[in-house]
Amino acid sequence: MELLALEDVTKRYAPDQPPAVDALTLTVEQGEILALLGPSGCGKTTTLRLIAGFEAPDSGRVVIRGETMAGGGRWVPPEGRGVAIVFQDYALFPHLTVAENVGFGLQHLGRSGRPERVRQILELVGLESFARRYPHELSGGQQQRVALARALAPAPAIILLDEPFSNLDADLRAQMREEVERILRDTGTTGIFVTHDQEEAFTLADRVGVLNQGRLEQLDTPERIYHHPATPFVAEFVGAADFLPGLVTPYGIVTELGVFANTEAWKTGEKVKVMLRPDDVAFVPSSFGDGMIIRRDFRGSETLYCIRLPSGQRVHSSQASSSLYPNGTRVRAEAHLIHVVTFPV
Amino acid sequence: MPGIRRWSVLSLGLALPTAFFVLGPLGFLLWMGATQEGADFLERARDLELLRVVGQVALLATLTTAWAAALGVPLAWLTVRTDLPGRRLIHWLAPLPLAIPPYIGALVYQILLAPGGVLPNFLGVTSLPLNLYGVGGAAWVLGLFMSPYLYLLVSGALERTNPALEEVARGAGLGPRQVLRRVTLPLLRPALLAGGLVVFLYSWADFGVVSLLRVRTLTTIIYDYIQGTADWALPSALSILLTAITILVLLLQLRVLGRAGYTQIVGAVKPAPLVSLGAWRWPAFAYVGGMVTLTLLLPLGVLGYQASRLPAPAAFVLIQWPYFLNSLWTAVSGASLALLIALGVAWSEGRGRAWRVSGLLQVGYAIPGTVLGLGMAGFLHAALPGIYATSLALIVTYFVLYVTPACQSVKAALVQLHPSLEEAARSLGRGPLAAFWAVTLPLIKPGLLGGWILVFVLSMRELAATLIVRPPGFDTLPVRIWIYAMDVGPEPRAATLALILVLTIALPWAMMLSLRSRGIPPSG
Repeated sequence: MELLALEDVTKRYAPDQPPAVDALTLTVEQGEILALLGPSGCGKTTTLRLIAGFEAPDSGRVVIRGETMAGGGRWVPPEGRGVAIVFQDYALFPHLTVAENVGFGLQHLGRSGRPERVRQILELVGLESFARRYPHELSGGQQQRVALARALAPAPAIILLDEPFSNLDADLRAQMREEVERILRDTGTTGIFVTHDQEEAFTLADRVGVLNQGRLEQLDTPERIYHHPATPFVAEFVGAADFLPGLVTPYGIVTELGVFANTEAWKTGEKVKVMLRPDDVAFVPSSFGDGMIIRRDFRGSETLYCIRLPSGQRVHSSQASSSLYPNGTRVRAEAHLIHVVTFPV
Repeated sequence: MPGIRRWSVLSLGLALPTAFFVLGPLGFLLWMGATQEGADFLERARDLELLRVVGQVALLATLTTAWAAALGVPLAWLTVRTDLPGRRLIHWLAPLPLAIPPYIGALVYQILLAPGGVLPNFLGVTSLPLNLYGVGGAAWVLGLFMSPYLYLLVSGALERTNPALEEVARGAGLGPRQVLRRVTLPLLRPALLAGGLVVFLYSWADFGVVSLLRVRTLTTIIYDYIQGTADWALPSALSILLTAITILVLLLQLRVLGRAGYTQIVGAVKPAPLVSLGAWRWPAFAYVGGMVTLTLLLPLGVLGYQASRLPAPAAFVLIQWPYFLNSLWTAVSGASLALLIALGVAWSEGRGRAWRVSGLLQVGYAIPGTVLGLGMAGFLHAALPGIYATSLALIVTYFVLYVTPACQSVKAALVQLHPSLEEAARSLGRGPLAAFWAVTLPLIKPGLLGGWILVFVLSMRELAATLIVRPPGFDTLPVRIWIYAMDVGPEPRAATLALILVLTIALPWAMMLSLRSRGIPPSG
């Protein structure tokens, strides 16, 4: 069932500036986890605020459970939407204990029902023993869990997470990511989270929406986003990519690194660019090779080489971290593409 | 969003009545001043030696500012940036003298130095060779008791200075003295200018000290006129002159500060390393100890000594009790009214798109007390005769005079709250008012309390406007003190009441100072 729909939603903060969110249309299914991915200023946080009801769209509609929340002359304030939000800074109420924070949205339960629900939710996030602490007495990861617990407590239709892991250290981030996913899946909660970290979006989300300058460039599964990016922007944003010029012939697309299948039915004679990921490019050192290593970046788990081709075009190749060829090594490079992705020049 | 319109209505509802009481008095003075004929004014100005008076007040204000800066700025540097012995105690004590209104400072020095005073008696002479009555004496007293303002602003700026800026200068090869001259002091310029301006404008428009120490200024001339005649035109014209020069100074300050109005952003800045005073420790300590003595211990001691000479103190206090109550309940009402309006204004302006009412409120803060008193009395007489010469008029006057500091306190408290806190409450099912009640209000309570105390203290010690606006026979403590000191001189009755006033103010003031140092931990 379709839980949330944004229909052609546009939001502009100032009349003389481009819209923060530009004719955005997307739907989210019940129980799904959606990531909104994009660089800062792409409109992803504004999208969350439009859904939560902290901003009103200039045009378009926000529909939750088939009911119009904003647009078409209707306006439901944030408190009437059943949409919970976990803020980037957690926004825990500093004057309330953990239990009081979690119970904040449970007024409808009354004094008798609240403690039971609070206990239940705190157990879910593993913080039963911290109920009487104040937020400033907790670590970053614990604060994050309280924020999540507080949002989950009223059993909202949708939970929104704004850059939820950006304030955590790297190793804690991976752990919290798993935990948040487990909690959302266990409770069957629909989640929409915003991030600029593609790895985070890929590991957590069922579908990823890539936003650029307020527009939705692509909404797809993580695999499709990575292997079949719809635009060069998506291709570059979700991982390193080089674009190799090619010419369409009856035998395929001819490039400097070989001929690739014309999977997208370009017309013969058209010029295109072929997307290469660093793991698509291999090379062997050879004194007869016409490529040359011009830069080597040791990355720990891999070594990234930059190779200059005779035309001057540069491509990147990812190799094992034990690989060690100095700059200036002559190489013969080749590309092995499982998915051929091409864009018009 | 559909909520916006409601904010506008709220702020408009606050703006209209507020504008009425802020602009009304000014409008009245302009209107009355306009009835003053130009040629006649010039002639009377010559009789009053107006040019000489203005020059004298300008001299007074300049001397006061220089004296206050010479006292307050080194004190701030010594307590914040050096290993001065007892610096934490000094840091708490230094702003305390603000609980002693300058006119009580003048009374203290009268008790001490005037012919027949404590010191001449002790030395066995009839009078001392130094003359307290005059510009010099007034500047001494005003500078002494205004210096804590400079201390507060400069020490605050020093605490906020990012030590990395000074470290960068050291790294660039500058020695400690050069760093002080080329980095630290220039960074303090906005605070110095702001503090200097407060002192300059206060002494420029002061009434209490100059009237007690017999210095002729615009304010005393205006007051004498109101007492002596039913003539509105000349005092109104003089008031406009006084206000115009005040505004001119304010504009000049904006011009001087210009784009250099940089504020240093408060971040997670580590405190700067302390400068080791070495052999200078004890001379510095003596200087600081001397200041605390002059501004705090000496005044309290002198007042206490003089008060102890009062015959039948219990009976006296019993007789004066109603005046104390007058002061108390008008100040409490004024502070509560100011805080309520300030809360509405600050909250709606925090929403971004509401009417900017606080700029309008600042007008009231810039007008000298004597001028506002005159304008308010005349305006209420003409527009709201039902309020004129009632205690309500006094409360409205305190509100107009001091709503700006209340507004600043509330705003400062609100700024520290991230909007996501209220939004979190909204998304958890609370309406705007419920979210404010459950989240915002408890978190800004210390700021609200601080703002309330500030207005209470300022209203409690207000003299110039109160003298003019109060209903006949409705005396407050400052009015009683002033009348005793003017009519009979610095004798025990004035000293007793002054001591009561100072202690009444000092208690909440000390409370506010400790509130200031104890902030709410930020979320996250």
